[in-house]
Amino acid sequence: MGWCIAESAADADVLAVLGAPDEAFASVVDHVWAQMSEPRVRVHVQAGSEATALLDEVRERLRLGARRLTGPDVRRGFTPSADAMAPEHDDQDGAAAHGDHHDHDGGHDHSSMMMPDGIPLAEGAEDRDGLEMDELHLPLGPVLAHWPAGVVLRVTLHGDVVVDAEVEQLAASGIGRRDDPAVRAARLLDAAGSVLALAGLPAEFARVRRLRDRCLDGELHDGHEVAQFGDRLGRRRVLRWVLSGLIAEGSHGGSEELHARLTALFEQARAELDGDAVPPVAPAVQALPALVRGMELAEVRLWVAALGPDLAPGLADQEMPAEAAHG
Amino acid sequence: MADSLPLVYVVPVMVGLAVVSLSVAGLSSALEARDRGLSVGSGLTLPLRETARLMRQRPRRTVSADRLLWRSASSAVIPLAVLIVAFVPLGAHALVDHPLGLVWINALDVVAWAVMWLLGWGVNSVTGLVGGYRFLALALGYELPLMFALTAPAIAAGSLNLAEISATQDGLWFVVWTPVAFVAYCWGVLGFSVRPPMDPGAGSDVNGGILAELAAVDRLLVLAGRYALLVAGSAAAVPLFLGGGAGPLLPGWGWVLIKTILVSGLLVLAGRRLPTLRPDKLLELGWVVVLPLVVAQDLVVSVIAVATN
Repeated sequence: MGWCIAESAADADVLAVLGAPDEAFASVVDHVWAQMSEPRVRVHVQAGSEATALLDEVRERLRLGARRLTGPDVRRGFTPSADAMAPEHDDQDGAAAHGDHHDHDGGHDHSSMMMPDGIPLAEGAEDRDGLEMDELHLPLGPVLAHWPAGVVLRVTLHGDVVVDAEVEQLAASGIGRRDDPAVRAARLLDAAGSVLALAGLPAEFARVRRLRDRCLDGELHDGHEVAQFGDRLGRRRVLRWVLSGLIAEGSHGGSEELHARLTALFEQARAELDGDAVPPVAPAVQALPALVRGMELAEVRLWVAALGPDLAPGLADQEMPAEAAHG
Repeated sequence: MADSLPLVYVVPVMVGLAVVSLSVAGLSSALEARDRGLSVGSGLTLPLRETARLMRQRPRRTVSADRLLWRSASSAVIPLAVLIVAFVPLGAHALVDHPLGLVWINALDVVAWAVMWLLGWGVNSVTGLVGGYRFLALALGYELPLMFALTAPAIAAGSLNLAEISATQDGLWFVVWTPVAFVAYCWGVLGFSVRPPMDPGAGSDVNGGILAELAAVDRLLVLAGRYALLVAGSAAAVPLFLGGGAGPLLPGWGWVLIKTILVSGLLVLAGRRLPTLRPDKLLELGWVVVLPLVVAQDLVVSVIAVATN
């Protein structure tokens, strides 16, 4: 196919929504759409069976893309380009990266002196070393690459260190959701792949992704290949060194190293495929704020990806709604 | 001392830089296509298609961005690479032959600090800011080893002129007896071109960092500029460590071209094998391991230089 994942709304050409998001989720999707540059295509996939045909049409639309798609000509599933375009579409909200912008949009009530362009100035607070630091509020998710769909983590940052966090879970009814060992193994492999992508190993990410696709297609009859892949990866010293020191207190019943979690994901996936899986003692999504406090932004991303199958067990199969086409 | 090349040579040198950068980008995406099980050919042409895609994308702005700084930073990456290549001798001559050519290369790699940081600062986005500062933290890790690595060929040749440094390596390339300096230099090239594994400032783990909000032509200039910087840094390694234009049959410029392609290709391959080095890890490696090694290398070179004179 040749689709690839966009890391941010700025780089995306296609917004693909899978399943039926609830109202809050839908408004976030609108925000992401508003941040994307034209030419862009928005598509809503409601049934797994129509995905391939719709994606082919997306490709065609992108090819014609320079001609703007407006009006009600568009078939079921597509949103015309002009539709969700706010009048001041150009000035996308950059201060709050991607995802959710509620904080700013509703905040024009008073003290406009302190709010250049509608954004309140950062407040100060003492950081972990007792220095005065600006506090930044950043929502992570629910639409973010390599991030479990539906999870929103609102973090307060000093520099790139998370000092406080709140978690929220947006609901969406998925499509074609099966729950069998192959799907559970695929979710675990998705999480492992996300960690590898975030750690800067796109080649390994691609390999895990292929393994996961074969798993969903029923081509893996036992966990042998998954175990082999996990072992090979676990032996890579540079990866172990780079991930060393990334410890989460409260993950899986104690303090856990990220590298161990990554290896455990492959082991769990193997167990699912071999039929000897034991349900893990996993942290609930409510435990996330305590877990990420004191971490750097990048560490938070890695940990949330690694804990993805535990945090959003029913949602992992519809992750990554925003994709970019380089086709 | 060799003379500068006539001004008309600017055109072939710039075309060469563009072609080599495109080829290296093609190599990178061909490898990625292979990993994803797609055809290698589609990967090879991806940089061209990506260029076309970004050229027709609508420019994008962010709220309260410092547009002047942001735009000047994104437009500065390619000129930076051009200014490095201009000082690299192609055979016996460079576009600009200057007695302090080596210092110029060092000065430009420090300008990269400003450019990459401004990319993150100007956009007024949290991820950009985090990416920019991650780049600075990383730069602290690679810059000192890089400076000391540049010192080795200068001491060995007793000159700061790139053509002279290149000519001194008659028969024995500096890479043979200054391997540590060569590795530290390549490491620095990956650093100032923000290429993997030295790309935490633009890493996926900070949503693309300094690249996160870039779209359209701005994004194209930065992505292409990163490859151009990688190629320019590799080109500068040729007179410094790899004997310049020395080689059989082909003219000097031909060998410079071949060696440049080899070095930049190897750097791309190395980048694919290694995970992104996070700034804290990199500082540890850079200051505790690499810096003492490079200084020791300089000491060895100095002793040999004094002894042989």
